[in-house]
Amino acid sequence: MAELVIEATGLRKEFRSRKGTRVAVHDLDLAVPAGGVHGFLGPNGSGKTTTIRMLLGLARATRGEMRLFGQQVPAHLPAVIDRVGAVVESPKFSPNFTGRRNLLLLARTIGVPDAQVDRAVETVGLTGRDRDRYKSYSLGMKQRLAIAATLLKDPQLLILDEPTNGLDPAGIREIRETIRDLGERGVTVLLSSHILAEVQQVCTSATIIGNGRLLASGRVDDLIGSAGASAYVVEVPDPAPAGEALAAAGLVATPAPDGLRVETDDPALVTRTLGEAGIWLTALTPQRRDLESVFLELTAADTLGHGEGAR
Amino acid sequence: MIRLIGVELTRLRWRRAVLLMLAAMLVVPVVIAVIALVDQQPLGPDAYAQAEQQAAEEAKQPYVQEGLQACLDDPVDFGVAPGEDAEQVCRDYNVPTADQFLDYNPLDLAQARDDSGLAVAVIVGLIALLVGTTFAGHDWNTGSMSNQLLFETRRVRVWSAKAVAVVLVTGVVAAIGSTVFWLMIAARFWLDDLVIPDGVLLDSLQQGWRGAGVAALGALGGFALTMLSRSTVFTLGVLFGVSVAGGILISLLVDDPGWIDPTVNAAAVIEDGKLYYVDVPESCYADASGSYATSDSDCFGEKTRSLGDGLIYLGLLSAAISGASVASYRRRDVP
Repeated sequence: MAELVIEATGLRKEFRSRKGTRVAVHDLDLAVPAGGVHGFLGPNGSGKTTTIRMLLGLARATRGEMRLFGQQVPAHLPAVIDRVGAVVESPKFSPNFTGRRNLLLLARTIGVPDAQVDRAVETVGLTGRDRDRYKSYSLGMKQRLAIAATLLKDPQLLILDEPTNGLDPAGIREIRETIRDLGERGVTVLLSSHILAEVQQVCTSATIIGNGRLLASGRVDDLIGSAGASAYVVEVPDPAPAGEALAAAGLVATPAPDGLRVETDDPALVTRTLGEAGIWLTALTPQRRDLESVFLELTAADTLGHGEGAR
Repeated sequence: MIRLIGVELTRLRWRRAVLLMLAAMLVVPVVIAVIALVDQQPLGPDAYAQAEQQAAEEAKQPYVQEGLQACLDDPVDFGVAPGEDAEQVCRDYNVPTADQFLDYNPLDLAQARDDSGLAVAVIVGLIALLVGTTFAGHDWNTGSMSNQLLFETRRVRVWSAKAVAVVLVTGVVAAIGSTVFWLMIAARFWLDDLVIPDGVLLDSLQQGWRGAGVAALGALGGFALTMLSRSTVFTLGVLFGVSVAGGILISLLVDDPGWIDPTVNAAAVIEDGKLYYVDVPESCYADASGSYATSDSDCFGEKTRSLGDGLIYLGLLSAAISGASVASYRRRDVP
């Protein structure tokens, strides 16, 4: 079994207020193996950010155990924090300081030479703007600065919470490339994102949570593959007789924009059935499930099953 | 830890609002010194001799003698308390003194400690408190506190480094400001070739430095309260409310405010002991006329809070606020 960089067992977070107790994270188990990019998915308020904040010592877990690089946190967080870079929710810096000054303060906190700040600024493409005040930055520039801050540590684990928020398409692509590159260089990346297509493109594994509960976890391919039967879209000159032939063969065929959608994982059965009926198909397109459909199915089922709100 | 303190000193130095307040801590003493020097002048021996002569001549006037005699005949009517030296009190009330015949207000270092010197200490102390609250409040308002904790997770160290930076900077700046103030006052004497009595300048400087210490404690208190409340505005509101409501409550509920009133204790530290007034017990008034009937010390209506008492009070108060602040900062979630 691969070494686990992040490990959480029975993690629970309750928020108490005058209105009562709200459970944001329900006995969550989380395992992120070393290397690669791990997606951390869930609808708004599902407990992703709260989980990340607990891992980083910003929020106290009500119950449960967490480990980073095998070290129990938050007790031993100081021993591993230098190996962890993180952007939690929106970037948070002093608005009246320049971007560079914000980074310098963080770099000096961990004894990193000022030259590392220049390198980080260059890596995220902020050279030339780093001496401008942070409050004058666009949201995309703020995100870049936050990522630059994580690079000051030369981290082995990067935790990114919605890192492409506010970025334009080019910016999103750049950040995606950076994340993929980091993953390929051996940095473990925990990527929390709503943009599921993006997660599917860069992540090797993923965890899906809903209402603070674990819904699914594993390799992205396995999550997609294990989520149900495949389907094929059949294009034929005349869908009506084709539908009858398929139905006679015991296949479920429903009208689709380009022809017929046939629920089966056996394409040979489709072509044989239609061929025997003298119908020649013009196209047979496999309908692979994507992460988004898996995500929506899982979270919809969870929402129906549990009505509790969570952060 | 040294590295963290260095970072916090840099953060403090880069914050414009803090810099402006630190500048004010230097400018205010200079302005008060200039006002004092414009309004007052040191008293030379010639000027005082002339004033004394005028006072002596005035004292011979019949109306002065008549007033003095009337007081001596019925001292109670003139407010002389039992046990007081009636002749001395009546002379103080009726006989003119040299001070009344001076052409200008005398500049006196010892006296300045009670007025302009004290004003410097109070104003600088209040600004220092604002420095502490602003410094901490900014980290919470901007949310940058969480970012800082991603680089140094040991919260007590972070709290301590920030506190040391605030105390160090406000203490040093307040000490420089008060030293400049007293040296400006003293320079006026030196320019006129007047002698400052032995030890008076040192006493004044020491008062300024004690005031700087109180200012640093004020900054620590402001910082600690803001780290507790996580809001500059909330902290200032609480301080304002406490200062108003607290003063009223103390006057209503406590006969002797010396042990609880922070202003009395701060003044005790700054002034090396503070004389303050308390309500005298009903038993002091024996007859319907309201005249004092006893020489019991409780009837004097004056008490002194010592420097040591003031230090203990401020130390305990600072420790209590800081302790609560650190405990809260360690445990609570950081947004």
